[in-house]
Amino acid sequence: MDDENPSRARSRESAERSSRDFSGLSSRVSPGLSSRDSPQGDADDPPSRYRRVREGVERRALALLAFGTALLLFLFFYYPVATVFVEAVVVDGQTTLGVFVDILRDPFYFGDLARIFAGESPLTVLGDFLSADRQLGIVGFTAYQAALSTVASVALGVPAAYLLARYEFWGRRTLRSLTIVPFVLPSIMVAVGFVATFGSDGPLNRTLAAAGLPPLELLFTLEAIVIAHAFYNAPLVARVTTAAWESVDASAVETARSLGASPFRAFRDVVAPQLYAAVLMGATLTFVFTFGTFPIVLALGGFEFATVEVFVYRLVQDLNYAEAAALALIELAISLSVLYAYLRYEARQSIHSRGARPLPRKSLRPPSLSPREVVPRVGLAVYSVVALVVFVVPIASMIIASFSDTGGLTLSNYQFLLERQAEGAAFQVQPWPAVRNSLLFGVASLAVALPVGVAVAVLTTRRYRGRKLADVVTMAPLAVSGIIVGLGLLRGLVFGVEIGGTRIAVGGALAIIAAHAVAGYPFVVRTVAPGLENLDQQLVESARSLGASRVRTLLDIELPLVWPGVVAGAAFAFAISIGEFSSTVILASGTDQFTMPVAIERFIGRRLGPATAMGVVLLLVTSASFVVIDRLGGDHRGL
Amino acid sequence: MTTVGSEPAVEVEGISKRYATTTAVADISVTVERGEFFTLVGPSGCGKTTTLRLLGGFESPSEGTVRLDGEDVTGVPPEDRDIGVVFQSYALFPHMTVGENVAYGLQFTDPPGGVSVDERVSELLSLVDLDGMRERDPTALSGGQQQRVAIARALAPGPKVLLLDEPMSALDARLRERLRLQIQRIQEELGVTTVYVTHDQEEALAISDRVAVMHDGGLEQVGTPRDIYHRPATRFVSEFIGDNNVFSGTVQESDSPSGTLQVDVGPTTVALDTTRPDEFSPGDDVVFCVRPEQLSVEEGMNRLLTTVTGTEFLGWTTRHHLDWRGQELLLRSEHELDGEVTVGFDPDDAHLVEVF
Repeated sequence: MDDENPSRARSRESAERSSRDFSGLSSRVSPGLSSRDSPQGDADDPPSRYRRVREGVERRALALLAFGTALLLFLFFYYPVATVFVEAVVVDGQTTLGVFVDILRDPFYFGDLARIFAGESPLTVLGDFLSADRQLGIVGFTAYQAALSTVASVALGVPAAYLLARYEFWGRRTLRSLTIVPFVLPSIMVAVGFVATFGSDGPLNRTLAAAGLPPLELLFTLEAIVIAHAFYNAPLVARVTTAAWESVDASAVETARSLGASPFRAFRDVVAPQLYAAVLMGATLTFVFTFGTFPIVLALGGFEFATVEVFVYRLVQDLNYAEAAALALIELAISLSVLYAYLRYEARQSIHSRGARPLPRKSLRPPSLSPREVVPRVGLAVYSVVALVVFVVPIASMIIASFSDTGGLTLSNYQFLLERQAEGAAFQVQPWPAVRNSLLFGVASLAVALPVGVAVAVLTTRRYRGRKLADVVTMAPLAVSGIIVGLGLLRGLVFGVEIGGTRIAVGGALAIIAAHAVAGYPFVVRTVAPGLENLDQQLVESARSLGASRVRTLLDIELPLVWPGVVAGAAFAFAISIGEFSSTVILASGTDQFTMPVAIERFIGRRLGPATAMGVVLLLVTSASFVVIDRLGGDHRGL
Repeated sequence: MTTVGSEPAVEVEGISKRYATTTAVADISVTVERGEFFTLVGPSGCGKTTTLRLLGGFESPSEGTVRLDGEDVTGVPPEDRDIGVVFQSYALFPHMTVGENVAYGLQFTDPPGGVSVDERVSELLSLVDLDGMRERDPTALSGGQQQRVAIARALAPGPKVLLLDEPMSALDARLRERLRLQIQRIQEELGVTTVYVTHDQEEALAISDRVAVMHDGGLEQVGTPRDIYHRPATRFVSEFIGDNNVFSGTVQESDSPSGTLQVDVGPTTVALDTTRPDEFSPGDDVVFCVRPEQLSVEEGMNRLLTTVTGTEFLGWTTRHHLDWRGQELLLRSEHELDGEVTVGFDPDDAHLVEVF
């Protein structure tokens, strides 16, 4: 309104001011300050042209990066997954849902539930379902074992959270860090550990025999599967629950106590409500993970137990691709519905009390002998014995077994790994190439996953319309099982695609690297994105105002500042590649592209020694990754 | 050493910035002369920072143009604008030393004045009194030192315009006053055109050549600090800048030759001086204000009967809160006051703000 107000007074004022004495601060600074233009640099100078070309590239670099990432994701994830989908609905050139309907109505897959899909009255089916001789079918069994595994994981994880959140003891921080280990331990290695433990010659049965008790046949039982799943997922439950417990504000509990609540009531009314969401999150993720379980059931389930994923694998081996694809999609649909239901629930819960002052930790030594102090600690002591058996014994048994054979201590299992089998047919698993391939694929997929993950992190932490969609699209690989990706890559790229009369096919090794990169890059995103998100945006803007292009800012300022996250992401991606089994076993079948996990699966039934030796090598590689992640990982709450 | 050029350093023409649900800046036009210290002041959410970000190219306007040195830079990215920015958080690069921070912008442009990068960095550090701090880790410096590093870094490439976004708000009051003198001194010495954003009206008055008061995304008034303080153009400015007593009333009589208005403020009529008596006619609603230092006890031509409701001893003065017909008035006086007090002011102590 008044911006036209002429300010003659201004010139008068500044004249007044210039006449003031500024304590001798004359022109210490060179003149020409208000011009940044340098005299040299005519448009045709070579350096200037070079600068312009470089600036042009820099200006487009972010767009190029985004384009490359999108192309890669399309080629190695969305196109293969779409192939699987098409495979399931197109039979002999006809679009049909017949394959799905057949699976839904087949009691082999859906048990008694199939009769509902076939049109029987739900009531009579329910009646049969509640009777003793109900049939679950493969899908039903998969859900059943997942539910049992979830219960076991919660039962084993919540006490650990109690211990970690409420007690102070030597090694607590280390123990807390160790809960990240399942993310990097290859599941096939865990399976080897369980075979080594529960096998007829394992430590468990030797202990039982020494005590004069009959041997326990746990191998190839549902119990073994459930315990192995608990080994894997209880730390996850413990991790999220501990975080929630530590964020409970002590003053909230103290307020409840001051208002007259007993310690138990204060726990029930104040603490517990803040833990439910975390426990439920742990439980949901456990259910989804174990519903899609593959290597553990393949190795520990024997012939009797097969989950959906295992059966998809068998169908692929029988070259029954349409049914495999349809079954894999049904599995994906079930997993995604569970996840979606959980996310809907989580969105409605919004307890985010970042406790200013966490609850104080107690000593493990009881301060008095009152039951209130002693009982919880005795409970924890019992729990730690169970935890020792479930978490430590399998790893220890694997290590011991790798150094022993029937004659005692030996290194022969490790020597075997370095041998290129002279004799033996070409289809037999060769140990050294497996080790070599694993490392090679690990490095190669890391080289892809790292830039892609960083690019996605950069592109999804910026604010723009459609960012949520970009987030979902780029994180989808976390939700889709390796079997589907492997199957899609196999049917789409390895078998070849016809484009304009030319058949384009990608070698198996390249497909494996692509599958590993797709499995690994979301972890890079997860470790890099929080750092970028928390970075002061004004740092970026300062660099830009000083003349740096967007890409220079990324290289000069942002990446150096989130470097620990980048390194941790790289360690994750490498560990994921080294341990990846599901897509590798599909893509590597019949070729010499076996990796260590695939070799272990082949060895596990016949030659436990080499399998354990390979397991130990995997353990070392992944432990090294764990150390890197733990030292540098910073914030990975999202995992 | 203010350089005088033909083109204004900054010209903003009709810029607006709209977000999905809100309008942050609504149709602002303003011109900043070369070498001027220009301040945008207003309460939080008034759009002053958004305006600064539009100048810097960190946001692009929904409408309007921005010209720097006569050149249209609307849509030009920040790195190509020849600007220097100091943010509220200073945003020093924590993985670089003080010297590396100051030298960062000199990678993209040659140091002005034909000196080497090294010499330029020394020059700037000495300008902000941080000689010898070159190898320091910026995160280990005090808030005031960090701010000076940020200023040196922004000035190193010799920007056309220096933009300062609330650079004082993270500092304590005493330090703020010292540093604002220093900023003023540096600006004076270099003659660099400076646009400064603050919510602190006192700071705005103290430091600027000209001040623009913003409110709800628009400009309320642009003028020298004295203009703004003594002749607020709107009710908002009169209330926002300094303590003030704002009255509403109705014109009863306008006496052209003497320039005096008789204004009915409820129980009584007051006389006000104006330089433009012809603009008022009986029945007009007007708003006028009287600064607390211009109200006095038992003196002045216009008298109001008030009740004392509270007293604040501030050291250099004492501020009394008075109730006048349900309206709170402020009065500065060293007298001890209690109970009913008659306060007064002369016709030329009042400033007419708005006419309806």
